[in-house]
Amino acid sequence: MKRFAIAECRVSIAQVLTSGFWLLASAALLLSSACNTLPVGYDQLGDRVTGTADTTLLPDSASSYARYVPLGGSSILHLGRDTSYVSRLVLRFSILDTMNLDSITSFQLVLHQRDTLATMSFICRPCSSEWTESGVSWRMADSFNHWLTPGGDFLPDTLATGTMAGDSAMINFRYAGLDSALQATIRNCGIGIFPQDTGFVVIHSGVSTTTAPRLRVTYTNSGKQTQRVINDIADASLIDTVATRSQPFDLLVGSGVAFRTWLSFNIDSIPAEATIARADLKFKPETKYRRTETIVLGASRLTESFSLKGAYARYENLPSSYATYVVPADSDSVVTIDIRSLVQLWTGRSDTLHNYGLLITASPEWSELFRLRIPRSGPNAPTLEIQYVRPPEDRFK
Amino acid sequence: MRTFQILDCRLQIVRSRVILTSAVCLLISAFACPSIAQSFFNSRGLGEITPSGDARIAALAEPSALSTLNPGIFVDLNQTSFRVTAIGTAILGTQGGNSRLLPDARPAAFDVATPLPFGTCLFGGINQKFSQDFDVWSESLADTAYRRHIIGRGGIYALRAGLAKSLFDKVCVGVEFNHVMGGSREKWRFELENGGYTSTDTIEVDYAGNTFKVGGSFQSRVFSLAGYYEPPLNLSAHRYKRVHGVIEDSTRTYALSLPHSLSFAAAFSPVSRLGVDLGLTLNPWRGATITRDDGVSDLGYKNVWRGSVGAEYSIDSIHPVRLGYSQQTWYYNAGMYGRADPMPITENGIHFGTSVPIPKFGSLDISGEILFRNSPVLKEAAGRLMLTLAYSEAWAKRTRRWGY
Repeated sequence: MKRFAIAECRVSIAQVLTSGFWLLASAALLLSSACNTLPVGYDQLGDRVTGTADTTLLPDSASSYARYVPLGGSSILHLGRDTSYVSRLVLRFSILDTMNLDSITSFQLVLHQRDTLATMSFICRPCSSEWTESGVSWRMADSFNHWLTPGGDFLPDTLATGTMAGDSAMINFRYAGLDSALQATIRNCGIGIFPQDTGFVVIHSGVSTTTAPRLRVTYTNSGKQTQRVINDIADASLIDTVATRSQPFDLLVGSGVAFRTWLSFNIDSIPAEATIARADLKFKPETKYRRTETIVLGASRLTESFSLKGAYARYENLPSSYATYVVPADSDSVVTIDIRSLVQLWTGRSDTLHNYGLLITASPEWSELFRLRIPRSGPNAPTLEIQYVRPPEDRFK
Repeated sequence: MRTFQILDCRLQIVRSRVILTSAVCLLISAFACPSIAQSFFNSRGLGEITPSGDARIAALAEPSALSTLNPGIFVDLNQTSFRVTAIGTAILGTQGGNSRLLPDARPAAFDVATPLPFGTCLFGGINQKFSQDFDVWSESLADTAYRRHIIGRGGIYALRAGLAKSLFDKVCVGVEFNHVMGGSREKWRFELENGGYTSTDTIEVDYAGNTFKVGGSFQSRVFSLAGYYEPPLNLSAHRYKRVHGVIEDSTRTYALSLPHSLSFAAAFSPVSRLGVDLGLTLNPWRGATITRDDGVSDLGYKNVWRGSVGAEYSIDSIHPVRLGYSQQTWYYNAGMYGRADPMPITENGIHFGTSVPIPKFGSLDISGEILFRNSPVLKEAAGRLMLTLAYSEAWAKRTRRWGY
């Protein structure tokens, strides 16, 4: 009797296990159907969906301007010159006056560069006017004051000469032997570094503490040789164009000296209630100058009228969209910037947010030097291809 | 022998407690769940006609004239009773080789009835009349990385209150007032391929209306007959459309008119352990109209019927088993891009269930349904589990009485 009961129990366990297996298998099958997003039943909404509409717009206004923009705070510094651009550096160090300079045995300037194959001879001179990193440019010493001479005010004294080669340059720097007035000038106004050769080198800025421009000071302290490294506290490139070789009405986009192109599209034909599914700004630029193969462009929304304020019209500092343009050998590829969110903003908030157009800029504007020309007309001119979807119809039509 | 009986009795009490606890947990979880029985067809018309919300009736293939939806079903009601029902649904939609599952759980109905002097009774409740829950995805939109995901939630409910009069212990007539109300909220999302969504268009519709219902029944030990009539229902619908949250709401008002409905049922009990029922519901809704600012137009609904046959067999005095079959055509057609020809939705269902008595409380009615919905473009297989917790003021052995 007991044996029979055990046998019955075993059968029950087997049955339970089998049932459990089938239950789990069924649950797994159902779950696999539950997690998917297949378009089952979408047909039932067919008469409520309005479908998509496509439109291609040409800019109804376009313009371009150049601006000496402050290049402080960037991660790279440009030093060099060629037939198109010239670039010099300004650097400032802070704590030179805290040491007993009489005991200094060595005073060196150290610069690190990105491309270890590039070379560049340079010369350092004291700067004679104070400047700020956030406002300094070829024209301006800070946000309000111009240099006395465009390109910066410098004294004729030579503090150091050297050559940038390999991954870094370490050159002796005259400071300890200078008279106190000049030392004070250097402390307050910093130094300028001028290229001596043709070509460009890209030097790491003070953004990275490990590769920042620095002074390496060796001095004797209590009879013991001590070395101290002093990173710069401010640095910037001062860049100017030598020759742009462009026509007055060319639409240009470039870095260093910022070339910006303003485009305005009339999107009134797009209903305010439409959802923008795609909005691609397309153009095929002509590369006028480049020092890199990968160029990043940004599209920023203007917040003021360009027609009224011209180059002084404000725009959103952070671009709404970006596009990476890899310059091909034959310069035959199209730049496509996805500005869907921008167009959606213009159409959806047309009552409160005016469409002043957009600004195409280098992103960032201190990036490696380039200059593109956007054709104003023809097949390569900018077009805005928009695909939009109208809102669904009501349940009861 | 006596010890064995006591043990058996204790075992039954423990089993009943377990069942009751499980049922309460299921009901609570259903009431906590915000969504409602879904269907891939629910994006059209007023949505699916929701079952009565009574597991006992559902197991007999829904002869709704024998349910508490009939205001004249309360013959010989002698104790206050209420019932609360929860429903769990899983729908597998199949179209063009694709299939998708929509699982769901929700409260279905609440009914209460209490006897009054002179053979009258007062009753009320809430139940859903139409479900507008659905969840569908679009194909990828051409040349874009976006897809539309449309989620509809909502339905139309009836708040019911009525009075019934029992005559000669075999006949009952009743009248019921219905305040019909509800709403639906559809979210039309633009979903990105990598998850998340970029914008949402929202369409909300609020419904409101009033109607009444009259019904009656004759119930004897061998034969029962019941029926009720629902006059035309006039619903006002206010639509609010909000397009990706930045446009000012646009509103519109409709007046929907749904023609009358009729429901009949007959039950026959040739032997004490067996009962058979037949049900027929007529929804002649071809004349349904919608009135807008620019005039009146047809909603395009159809005259449809629903037939059912069911049987109940009592294994012993307290353990009934129920089985039923139903067939119906939905009152609206399925849709498809570019096709204007009517594509009817037909539904065939197999229903089954039982009841578990709960001492000193009432019973737990359980029903399962397997429904097959077919249209030329889309097919659905639905499984429905319904639990009704029925309370009677003083529990007694249940006799085969319809209603309470």
